Amino acid sequence: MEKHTIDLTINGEKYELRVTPNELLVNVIRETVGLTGTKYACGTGQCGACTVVVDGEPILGCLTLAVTVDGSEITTIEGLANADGILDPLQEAFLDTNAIQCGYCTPGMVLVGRDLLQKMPNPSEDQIRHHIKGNICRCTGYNGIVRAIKKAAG
Amino acid sequence: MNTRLISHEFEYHAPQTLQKALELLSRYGPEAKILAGGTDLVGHLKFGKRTPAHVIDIKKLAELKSISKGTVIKIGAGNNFKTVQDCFAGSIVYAGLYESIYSIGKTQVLNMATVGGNLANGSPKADTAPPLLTYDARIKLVSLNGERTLDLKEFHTGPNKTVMADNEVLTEIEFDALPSHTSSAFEKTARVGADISKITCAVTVVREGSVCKSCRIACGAAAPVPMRTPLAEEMMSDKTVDEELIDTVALQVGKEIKPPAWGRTSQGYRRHMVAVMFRDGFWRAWEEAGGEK
Repeated sequence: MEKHTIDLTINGEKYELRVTPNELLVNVIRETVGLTGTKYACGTGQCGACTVVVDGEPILGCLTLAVTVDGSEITTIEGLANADGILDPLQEAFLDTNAIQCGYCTPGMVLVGRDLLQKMPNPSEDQIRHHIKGNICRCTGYNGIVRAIKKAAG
Repeated sequence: MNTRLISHEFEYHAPQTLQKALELLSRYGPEAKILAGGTDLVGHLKFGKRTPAHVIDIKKLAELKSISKGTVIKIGAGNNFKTVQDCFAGSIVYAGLYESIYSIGKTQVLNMATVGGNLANGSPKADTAPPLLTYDARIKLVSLNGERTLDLKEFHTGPNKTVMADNEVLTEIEFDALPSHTSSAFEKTARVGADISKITCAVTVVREGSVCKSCRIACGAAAPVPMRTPLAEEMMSDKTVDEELIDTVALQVGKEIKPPAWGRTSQGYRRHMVAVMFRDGFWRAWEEAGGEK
């Protein structure tokens, strides 16, 4: 299988990577690049744990061939805190409202929550719940997560 | 089954124009699969349901991304659900199409999956198929040999089967703009919110005073293909609307669908639910079109 060269900008850093066509974006980010904040869970697009933001839109890393995002700008959960390690306000809100238990869904939840706040600065509870519909959490019962997104919205 | 990786090996092509994509399809024929949003195909590659030697990526083709709303509404097949949802947000006439996409819900899937892929995949459960069927939508298929336009209702031929040839690309979905005093609605039953449909029903109503000029009804996950229910529609044509009529037609919709005896949802449940959903959808659309219950 012929390898392809792809250029990615991940959290502001440029990468030139060699990938085979059947490599999944989630695996390239976790294993080739070494950013393990992005999680692999169901592998079938049900749970949202593998969410990364590609060219401004959250997508599923487990259903994306890495070769198809050549030239893209990608943000993973590691890209939210600033250079001094100061967390994004939504990450702070997750901590404040105990929106985390095992933490496996958290990177995806935060990225999707942030996407909502960028598009809709003051969402209702229904709008929050609808926007995170593609992200499954098996610990918190979602209430803490909804509270966190509300809190970050101010 | 390992969902962590794709063990199947294939060659990847990212043509820059539709013409190049068609040439590749023509060259590789049945050995090629088209990749658009990937939400179906990549899963199929993982599970070995599809084993193409060549994957042809049409996701970025600008030629498939136009949307125009004139006397004919044309939607490029490469638009993702999010774009189409935003395009019809707030529409009373085309609320059914909007609601079908809203019901899919998952932010990430709406950003990835395309409206063309939803149809071309051939699933009888495709959520956008019922509303588009009630708009009498047509689809455009293009190959190196030329293009053809056919009614969406002739497109699906069985579960995961369509009339699309190996060398064709679905490029556009179009339908005539509907008259005023028209509204549409989409109803869906699924196990949990973001799940695949158990049964869906779309209704498009054209109102004239208290008379229903026409009511088009289409159901998904109701038969081997997304289907209209012509007998039920006939019962509504040019009729004064009252609850008794709608209850009678709802039972007819339940009788008319052809749900499979197998699968995750029983025939009886689907027949019962589709009647309930038709009633709910009809009254919502009727009231949106300015009618009274």
